[in-house]
Amino acid sequence: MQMRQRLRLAIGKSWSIRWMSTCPRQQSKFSLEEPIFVNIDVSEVIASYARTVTTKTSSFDFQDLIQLGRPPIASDALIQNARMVREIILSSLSRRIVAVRNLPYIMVLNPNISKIYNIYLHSVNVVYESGTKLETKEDNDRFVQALQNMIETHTNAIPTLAKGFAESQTYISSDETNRFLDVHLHDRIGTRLLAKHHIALTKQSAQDARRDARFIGLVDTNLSPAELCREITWFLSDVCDLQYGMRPSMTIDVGEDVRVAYIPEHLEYILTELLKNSFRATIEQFLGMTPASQYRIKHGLQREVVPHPVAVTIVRTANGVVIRLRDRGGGIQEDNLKRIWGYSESTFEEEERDGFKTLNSPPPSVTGTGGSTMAGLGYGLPLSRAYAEYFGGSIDLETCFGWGTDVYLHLISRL
Amino acid sequence: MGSRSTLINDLSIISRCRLFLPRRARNAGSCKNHNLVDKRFNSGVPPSTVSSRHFYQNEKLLEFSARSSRPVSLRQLAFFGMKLTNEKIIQSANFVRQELPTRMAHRIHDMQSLPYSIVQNNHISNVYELYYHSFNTIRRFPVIKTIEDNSRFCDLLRELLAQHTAVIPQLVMGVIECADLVDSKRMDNFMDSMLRSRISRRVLTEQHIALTEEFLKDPNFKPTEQVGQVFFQCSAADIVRQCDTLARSLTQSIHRDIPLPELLFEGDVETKFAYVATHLRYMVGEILRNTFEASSERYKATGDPLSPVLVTINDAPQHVTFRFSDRAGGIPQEIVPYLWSFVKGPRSMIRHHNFKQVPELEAIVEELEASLALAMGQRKRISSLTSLTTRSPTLRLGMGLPMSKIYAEFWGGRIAVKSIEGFGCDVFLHISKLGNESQFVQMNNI
Repeated sequence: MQMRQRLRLAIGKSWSIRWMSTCPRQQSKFSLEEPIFVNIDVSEVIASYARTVTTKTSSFDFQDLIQLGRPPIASDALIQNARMVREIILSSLSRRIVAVRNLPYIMVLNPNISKIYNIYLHSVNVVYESGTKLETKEDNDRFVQALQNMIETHTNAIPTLAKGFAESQTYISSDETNRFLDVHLHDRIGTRLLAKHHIALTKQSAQDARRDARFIGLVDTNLSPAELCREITWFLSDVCDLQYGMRPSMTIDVGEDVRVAYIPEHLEYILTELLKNSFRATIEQFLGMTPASQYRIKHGLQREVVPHPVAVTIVRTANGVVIRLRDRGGGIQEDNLKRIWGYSESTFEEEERDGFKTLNSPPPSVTGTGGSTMAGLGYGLPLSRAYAEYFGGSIDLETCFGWGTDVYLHLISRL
Repeated sequence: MGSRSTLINDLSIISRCRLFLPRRARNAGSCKNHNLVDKRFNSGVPPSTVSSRHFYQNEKLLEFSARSSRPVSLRQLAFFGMKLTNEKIIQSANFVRQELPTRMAHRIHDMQSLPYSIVQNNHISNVYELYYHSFNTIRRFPVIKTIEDNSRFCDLLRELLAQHTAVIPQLVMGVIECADLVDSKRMDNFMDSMLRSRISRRVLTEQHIALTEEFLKDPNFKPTEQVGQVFFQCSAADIVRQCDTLARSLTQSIHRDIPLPELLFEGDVETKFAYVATHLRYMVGEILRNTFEASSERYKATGDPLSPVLVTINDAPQHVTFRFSDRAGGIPQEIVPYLWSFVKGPRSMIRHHNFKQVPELEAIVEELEASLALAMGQRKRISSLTSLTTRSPTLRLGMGLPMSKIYAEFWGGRIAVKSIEGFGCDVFLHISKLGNESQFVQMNNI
């Protein structure tokens, strides 16, 4: 962990006093009640942490999550972990702050974006202060509370950020938007993951946990993708029923018994997104609402007589799992293919957004928002890809316009 | 083989092939020895094109390679709806007369820029000399002024087509042998431009010949159907079935008693569209061969029951898509990055040792030439793609996918392979429809 070593060096330096006026004073009338003044120390912290890495890289891999073994975890190991988590999170948050500072001035004046900026500053403060001394169990508990606070504060950050960027389209090109958001969301995933994982490890170590517990922090060592698909289908079926008066279906062709160690939240988000797309396409293709079905009607080609079930294939590989979703939803048009991986490129029409609000309400655990406003934001696919790629996986798709789409989800989880 | 002669029949065009058979020196790196020049043929290659004066005689080549090739539209190839006249035929002939040497000059110039060690390889230098000789022959042909001139021109064209039949196997052999001499990107680019140029030149040539023949048969001929091989009416399912039969019999001739999976069709099975049938047969053949090969190996290793190969045919506005979905075990991870390269990764270096002599490929070249003689007697034409399509399964070149990619993309299509490690593969072949409503407007400028 080259980066961690560098971080340790940075911490070891003593802070020099800087002239107060050179520090940015951040006041916000728009969001949190109290204005936030960044004190000298934290400003230095931000500066030095942000200097480390500027590209989209993971500070840790899957193995790091589980290297401490199954809970309960010894107190000093937990403290050690807390220190590492604090460093990585501070680095990540600082990088975000600097990135926002580099956005065009007018953009950061947008209330949505400045709100994001402020909560990041708030979090850096909180996480830094709470972890200056990390030696005892009580220190760790205090730190865990700070992490909890950070997670809650940032819960609704994505819709807010999305709104901000959507409103700023005249000030920034879509390429730059994509670049910014790719790194931003990647960092966000890592930060939240580490924080929640540490909180979970702490809780699991405090309880009277058995040695062979199934969960290591956030990681479920016996996760069944098939089970998850069924739960998600059940949930989405209700939504489709409300929307279209029809229920979609799903079959697990292969891999009913496959088990893998992974983070259920992540997999759940990805699968919800992908299944939602497949179900929507399948039903609309059947109902003749898609451009693909209209082409077929026009040319007298055979049409679907039933909405086809989405076929799921789950295969265990040497270093993870591959899940293939195969639908008969009419496929994706050539022009759209390039756009689907970009942000705010929803193929939902404006008017449809309200109607589809209910279509995309993943369980509150993932986004922390019930009755989600994420539908139609166009963030679903790129965010899913960010989740998949975090540990080196990928999402690929191949489409046959007029027939359907195959999605290949590779996840890495070396246990 | 019954199926093979059917394929040959498909390509029958009345021609009088003249045959030139260069002999290869068996020692790599030795001087070229054309010790068999058949003096019956006017266009015999002199003892060695690459003589000591070759360097100083390069001016004409440089002149031609400085020109740009002109774009050729699909409409031009189709001659659709045009009333043919002497003038139009002569115009077309002169266009071909200018374009061919220009395009060849570009490729020869490329080869002259390649490292010496590569072009010195027997097979590559054969191709070089053939190209250079053809370039000289055609550029010296006088301007065509009458229909009789055109007839003589077409004779020359047929001869050239025949002489160049063995080029692909030669190139393939050369690339395999030179794999460790140059970086793979450069080799891939070289093969890419050679093959694409070859496709465009052959299409141009064959279309003009086809046009001439139709016109000579009936001067009032007004094409209502498109002329030539580019717009051959293909039936998607039939082509897959034919390729299946061929690939199956070839695989089973080597792996006896090993069952192969059935094909299950779904989708728009009745789809018909205009395309270059030989290209399509080659690509589908390669895909099926890979599937059958993987399936055989898997069966030998595990003895597991076979799952059928799902063939999905889809009729889209501008494309026809074939999806081949198998459960033959997938592609090993270490190979995946090199799937599309002519020069494979580390694993294939082992294979190269086996291929140093490449006897089977040599045999293909000789077989081709023998078939050419036969075809000459039967007034038929065969193509070098067909020779590769019918090659023995023991000859595993690792070129099926990269070649198919070039052929597919030439006409605005695409091929993609998605492997699920340990499970199976999905291969997607998107073919541009080349009929009247095709969005594909013109051939590459190559």
